[in-house]
Amino acid sequence: MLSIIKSMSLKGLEGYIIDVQVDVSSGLPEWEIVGLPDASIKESKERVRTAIKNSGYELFSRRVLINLAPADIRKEGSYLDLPIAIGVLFSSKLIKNINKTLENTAFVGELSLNGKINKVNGILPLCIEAKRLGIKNIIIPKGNLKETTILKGIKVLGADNLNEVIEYLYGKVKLKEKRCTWEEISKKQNKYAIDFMDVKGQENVKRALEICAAGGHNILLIGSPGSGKTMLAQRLITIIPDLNLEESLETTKIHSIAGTLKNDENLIITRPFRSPHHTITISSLVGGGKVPKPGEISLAHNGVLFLDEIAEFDKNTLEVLREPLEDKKITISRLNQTLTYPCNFMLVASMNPCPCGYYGCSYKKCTCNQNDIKKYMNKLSGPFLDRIDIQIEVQRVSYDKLDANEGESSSKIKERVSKARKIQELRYKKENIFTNAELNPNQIEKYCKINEESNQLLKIAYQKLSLSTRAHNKILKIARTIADLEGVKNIEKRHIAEAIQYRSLDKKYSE
Amino acid sequence: MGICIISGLAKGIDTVAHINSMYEEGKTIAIIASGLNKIYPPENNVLSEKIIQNGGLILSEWEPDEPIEMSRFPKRNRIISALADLILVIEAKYRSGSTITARYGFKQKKEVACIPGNITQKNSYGTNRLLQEGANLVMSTKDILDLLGYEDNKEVELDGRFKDVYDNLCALPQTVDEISKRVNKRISEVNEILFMLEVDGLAESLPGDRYIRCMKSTI
Ligand SMILES: Nc1ncnc2c1ncn2[C@@H]1O[C@H](COP(=O)(O)OP(=O)(O)OP(=O)(O)O)[C@@H](O)[C@H]1O
Ligand SMILES: [Mg+2]
Ligand SMILES: [Zn+2]
Repeated sequence: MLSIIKSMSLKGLEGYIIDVQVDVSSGLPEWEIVGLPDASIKESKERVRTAIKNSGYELFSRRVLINLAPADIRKEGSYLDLPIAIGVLFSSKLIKNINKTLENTAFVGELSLNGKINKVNGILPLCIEAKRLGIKNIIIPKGNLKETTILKGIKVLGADNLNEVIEYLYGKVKLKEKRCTWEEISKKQNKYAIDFMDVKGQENVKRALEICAAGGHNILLIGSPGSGKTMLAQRLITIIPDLNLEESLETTKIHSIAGTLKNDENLIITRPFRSPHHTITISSLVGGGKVPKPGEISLAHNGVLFLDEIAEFDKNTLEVLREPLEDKKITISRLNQTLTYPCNFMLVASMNPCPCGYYGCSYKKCTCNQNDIKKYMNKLSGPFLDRIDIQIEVQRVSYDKLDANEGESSSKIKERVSKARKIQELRYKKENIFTNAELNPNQIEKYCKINEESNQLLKIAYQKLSLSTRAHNKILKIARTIADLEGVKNIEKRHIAEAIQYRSLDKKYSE
Repeated sequence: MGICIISGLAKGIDTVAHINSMYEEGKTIAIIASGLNKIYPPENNVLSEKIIQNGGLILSEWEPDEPIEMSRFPKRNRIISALADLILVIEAKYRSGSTITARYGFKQKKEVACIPGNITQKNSYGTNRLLQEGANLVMSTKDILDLLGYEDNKEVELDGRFKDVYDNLCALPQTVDEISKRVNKRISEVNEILFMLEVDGLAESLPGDRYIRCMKSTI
């Protein structure tokens, strides 16, 4: 007899309904799975067979043919175990006369040999896509329920084991459901365990980070070992306005696929902070692998990607970042498929000022010569530096200041940042961008007009400080953000002057 | 600015000179009248170590273990004056050690300068006498820098808030944070002003986010 059970499959963040067609007939006892399954699905037949047996059903030697339709979509992962098992049970007439219609019901879940349904990756995007494709009920592993609590318009049911699903089909038990509102999820007061208040002194760097947060600018921190670069970078996420529901869903979807959700997490409500080591492979950074998984840049979606010791990263690794930095998404091409993940992150990079680490340090002497220093700085390619608006030097805070008064709290700074972001959102309503950092050259001309006085200042600056012309647009963008933080409409000379101060490399390290 | 302060590691002004020189991140040299292992006064042992740690120098014309001999102190001063470009006497009694250094300075054709004092004050006798003999009278840092050949910083006409920051810049590199605290202005404004001063050639930014007042040496 033939049975058809619905399930789901993902290609990137895009979902497809999969019909699991099972036919059980008499004949040579064998299982065959067709319809572009990958190796992990081919393995499922042993798991499913044993799980069924251990759930108390006798499968007599029969011929089992499983077809996964449509056949042109590659299916991977173990979450088709559950629908296959259900299909086999129906086709073998081991379950019949159930009191539910399965028309709009989909099943996903991996089976253990004892019939338990295991947690799988990607459930949130699967459910969202299922709803979009008209599925009304979806049965998922109980362990995945948490991430789906926010969904409306689709019934998401969590099952613990195969027998529970069967009893549910007979109407004997109810499966577990979990609902939560966004208000309940996001109300958690102190979302971050860290705060800018923890950082003593460093007012100049804090100001630069506030500007970054306000305008969405990328930043490079240059400073000696132990000057506090990591500590400062980690706190950037605490002053960016909170994630809204849409952003939270986008970020959680990616972490759902990557399997990096924490057990107690409904949705991700804090902005992600990812800091991959400089030895990271390109595919872990941007995404890829045999079963393409989101990389660090996508895991940092709507948050911060921190590249510590940027000069130590492989040139090729940094090179592949250029495109995603521009497009805010990454396309991964594999032999048989191409898929896209979003990666809208803010970049924070850090580096020492020289090979020994102490150039410009006020308490320790640098032992490098000018040539070494220049060579070190040149490790960052021009095109990469082009994507970084703000460059600032970090000096270690001396010990007597370490026990000084506490600085401003992150929430105070965040208030100012939020105001500045609102101004930008309003101004760029028609441009399809949100922040000053995203302005293209045409838009800069339109939104970053400066008066004659400011123009004169820029001209003098270029001559006297030998600023590169490459810096021009960046200075205008930063000045725009500084003006927005102040809440003034036009960029004034003072904004330009301050903005140039945050182009340290241009000022001091260029020839 | 790189002015090195030389003194004799004695109590009083010597000690103050060494300590403050290091505090201002300068290098300092102490010339002693005994062996290097026999620091006098003993409580300045720590100071002598600090001087070395900070890249300074302790110099003696004697073998390391040569004992302390008071009668050798005046003669030691000829080395102090010989190494210096300018000998500055702050206070001196009649026949004090520093007048001896100054007189060596005259002989060695060095610039000698004194801070004048009230003639009724004992501690000014020596300095006033040196002034009479032709030492330079100095009353400010600027006077001293002039003697050393640092270009006179033309009185710059600056409007209030710029002057505020400019006046607080010196030869010692300071971070934006430090300057901001000193002038009690917000970081954003200090950055703006520093940039304007830099463009006008009145301030210079050094690696490590630090600023100094622009002083062009004419030597
Ligand atoms: N301004 C500060 N306020 C409070 N603690 C500080 C500050 N600066 C540094 N620290 C302390 O020093 C430690 C080292 O700082 P951090 O690791 O951020 O420096 P870093 O510049 O990243 O150093 P490295 O180059 O070695 O990675 C921090 O964990 C923190 O405890
Ligand atoms: Mg670090
Ligand atoms: Zn160095």
